[in-house]
Amino acid sequence: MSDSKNKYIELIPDYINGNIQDKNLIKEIEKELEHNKELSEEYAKIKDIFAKIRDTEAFSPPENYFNNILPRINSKLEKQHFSKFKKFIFNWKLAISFGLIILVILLYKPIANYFEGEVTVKQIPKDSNFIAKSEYITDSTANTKINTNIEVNENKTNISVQKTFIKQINLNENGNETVIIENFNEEEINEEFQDYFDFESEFENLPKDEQQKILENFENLKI
Amino acid sequence: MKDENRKFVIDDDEKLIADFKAGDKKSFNKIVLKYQKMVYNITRKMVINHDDADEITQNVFIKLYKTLNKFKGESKLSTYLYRISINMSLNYLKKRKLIQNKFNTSIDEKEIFDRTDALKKIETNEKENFIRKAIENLPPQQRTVFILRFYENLSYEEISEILGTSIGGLKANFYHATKNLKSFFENNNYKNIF
Repeated sequence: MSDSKNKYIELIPDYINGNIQDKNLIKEIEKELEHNKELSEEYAKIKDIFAKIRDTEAFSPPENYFNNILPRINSKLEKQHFSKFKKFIFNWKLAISFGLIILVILLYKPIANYFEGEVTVKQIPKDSNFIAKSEYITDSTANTKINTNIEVNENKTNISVQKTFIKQINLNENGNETVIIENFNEEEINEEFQDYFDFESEFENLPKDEQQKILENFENLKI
Repeated sequence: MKDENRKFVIDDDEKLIADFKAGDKKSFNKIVLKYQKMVYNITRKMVINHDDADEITQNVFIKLYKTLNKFKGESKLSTYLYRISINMSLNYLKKRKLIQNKFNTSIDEKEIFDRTDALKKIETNEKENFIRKAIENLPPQQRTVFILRFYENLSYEEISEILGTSIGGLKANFYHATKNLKSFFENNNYKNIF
């Protein structure tokens, strides 16, 4: 390929399409076409091909195609918008549902206790230093916290009882004690616990084997 | 296009965009009606198949709807639409090529025209098939430049703004596209058809 053909060959397509604005350049190309046989042959071929491409409607849409694009676009937009809305609502519903479930889990026990009035009894595992140790937790209706410790020392020679607001101790089916609570004033407490206090002093005066029996009873009661 | 007319068009687009941003969704419909042919023509020539071009055309306007509020007007609306159309078409062509490579299938020329069976009754013209094949034969970048320059008659500056490519590169692409078309025509005995 000659140098002069190289120089102008890339301009031929734009020249054929009338896209070259520079009049001086147009004159140059036309002059070259007159004298350069190779270039003019190339020009003729490309011009012919461009004419064939232009004259052929190769990419026409079906009839009335442009009459129904807009409705279909709007329909798609509506579906997408609705689907986003549905997703948003679904996510909110999901979040609320989870929140409610967690709330129910957290509030179940207090609510259950409130409505059922059960007394929770804790059983503390036996410790080597004690025969038994029990702790009672209040009935929620009384809303009073109590603490009862019945402790026996390791030599099983002594028993001590702390003051508690206890009205009645019942054994339930599982052998656990339930506590029914009332609010006592100081005098009532002493009166109620008098038995315990008497018991303490009496216990100390008991023979060892009798003491042992009582302690075993405490064990059996899971106190 | 004369400068006066171009100014009118630009102002018209600016008003439509402003109305859309103000909440008048009907202005979007006007934009679609104004540019639907342009978008379809570009996408159809890029992907060849009508059904695919139809899908892409709709997606172009859907994307426009979603992004028009953020459109700053730094370029013309038509430039923006050209850009979306070209990008979506090129992405489609890439995906198609990936599928071809992955599944070791080839969408050969026969298949391309089998897929336009719906239009076969209308478009059985051999010349049209030949032209579609010729354009299909161009690599994506050359095809893009050729369509924008030859069919849309855009300047190299405008094409450069759309594609983000240098003007020198675009001129080379257009020349090589022409060269490839010439080779295709000559190698396929176009004179027997035209």
